[in-house]
Amino acid sequence: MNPYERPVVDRLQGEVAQIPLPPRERWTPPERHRSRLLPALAATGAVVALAVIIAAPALERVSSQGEGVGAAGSSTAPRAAALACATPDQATSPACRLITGRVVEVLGPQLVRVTPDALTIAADFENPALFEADARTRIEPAASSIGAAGVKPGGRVQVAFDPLAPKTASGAYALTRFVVLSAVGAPDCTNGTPLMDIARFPQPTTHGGATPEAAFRSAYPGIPDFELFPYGLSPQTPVWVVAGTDTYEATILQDGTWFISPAKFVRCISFEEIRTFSQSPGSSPNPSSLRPAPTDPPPFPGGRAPTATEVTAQQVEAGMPSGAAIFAATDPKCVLSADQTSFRCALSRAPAPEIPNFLDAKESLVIGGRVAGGCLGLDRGGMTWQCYIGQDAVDRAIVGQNLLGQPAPYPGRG
Amino acid sequence: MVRLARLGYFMGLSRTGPPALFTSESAVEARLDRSEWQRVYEECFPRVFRALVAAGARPDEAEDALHDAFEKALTRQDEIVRPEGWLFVVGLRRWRSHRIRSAIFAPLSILQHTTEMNGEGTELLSEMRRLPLRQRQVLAARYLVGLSQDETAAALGIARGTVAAHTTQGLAKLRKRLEVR
Repeated sequence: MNPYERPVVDRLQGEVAQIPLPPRERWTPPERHRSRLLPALAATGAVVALAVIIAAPALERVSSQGEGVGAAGSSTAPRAAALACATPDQATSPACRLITGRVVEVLGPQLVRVTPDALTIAADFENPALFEADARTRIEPAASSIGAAGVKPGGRVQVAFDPLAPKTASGAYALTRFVVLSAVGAPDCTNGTPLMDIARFPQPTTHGGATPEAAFRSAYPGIPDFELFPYGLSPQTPVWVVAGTDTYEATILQDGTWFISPAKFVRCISFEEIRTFSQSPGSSPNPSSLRPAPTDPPPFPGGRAPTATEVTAQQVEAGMPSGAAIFAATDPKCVLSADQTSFRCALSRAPAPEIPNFLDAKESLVIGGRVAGGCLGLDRGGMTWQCYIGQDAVDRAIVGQNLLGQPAPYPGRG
Repeated sequence: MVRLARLGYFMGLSRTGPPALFTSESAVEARLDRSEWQRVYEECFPRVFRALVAAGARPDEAEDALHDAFEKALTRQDEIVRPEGWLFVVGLRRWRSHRIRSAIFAPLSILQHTTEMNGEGTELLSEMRRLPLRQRQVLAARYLVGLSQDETAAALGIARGTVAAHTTQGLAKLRKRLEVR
């Protein structure tokens, strides 16, 4: 699902959740079974409980003497009987096979989004995939929940789940095991590269902090506790910053100072995908953060820039952030005008505050890696834009004649 | 992928059990792990019920169709990989055949094609009902029942590419209609 479809699906799911269910008594198993079984179940339960109380200490002694090391995570021994993947038979089952990945988002005490390292595995499920733990999930090192394990976005984990089991009410795969390899760390993808959603970009006049730490303290004086994770050994490599559940990225500017922006780790992305993005940047949620090597995209069909009727609203929606960095993460929605000469686009989030007033602001539009038109700001806040395609954009002095059709591998700034 | 006799597994039923489990209550009680059965039932019912309503069924039709599907699931001997997907498709067929029977035997009743949704806060659902049946089925299977593209294709007996196309087209229409409104 592309980012433009997500709001529709979310809203549809929200509306469907409002559909009233039939009265509860009509969709629970028949009472007659319960009334007949209850006395027997109660009696059986009482007998079993009594047996457990009597036999538990002895059983515990036997199990502790039995197989030595035993199953992984022996620190969880008191919970082991209730945990999944506890016995050797279970541990070798497909539902207990561990997959390594990086945490993208911690959505709740038991809910986590993970992008698998192996992108062939990722292709079989959602990427990133949503996982939920419950009381049976074997969390290692032992913790009462994923949240309690202290794992943060960028942390390295292993997950095991039964892909055929019904998803939880949250739409997540039910975890059988959750192993924290490193609770925090910079996003790193073994067979690809991290795709980041960067919220802000520096202006040409921006001067940051002397160090990533100084830049962060200056930008967010209200956040005293944070951790820094450089992506590499070089002193100029970007730095991943984790402050609670929020994440940021520090990048070095041309003047040697550091700039901080809120940043979300979206998922691991394969090099093959990057090549695809470099050919059609519009298909990337945020191609600027990937920085693939610039390659000349193919020329427009027919050797001329398209007209409004030759492009789709989706291409324009993707073309806005491809053309101008201020549109990153703004989720534009565009509709072809009635006269079919332009697109009216509304943003879901305000553009980066590059200028104080976006009324009549002009930004280029990039489709297929080349400048295909331009957009004109219709309000001061920059929430509504009119985008003209091809020669129409030149005629309205939004983009220059020489710029139209030129390669534009990265979104423009300033 | 490891295939499991999923529903039977959850319910603690043997794959080689009696042909019709509900024909003998003693057989049911002997083989049914009640808590597991109840869990599957309670997990699947709301999601599949709502998916059927979203696909166009009236609530009463959806309820009948889904109960039929559950009953059919219990009598099956072969494997059911994703119970919610299986129930959704069987429920869809039951609902459609019921619609056809209703149309034959009581033509006017088909005119009462209304929903019990009041339209307040359900604009997208109303728009979804205006989509072609196949697009509704695919969207409901993918995003309301939670099936993957492959599972949806297998459940509805169509190609994976067709699922992708219907999904894209359906969502695009919904989004455009929303914007127009």
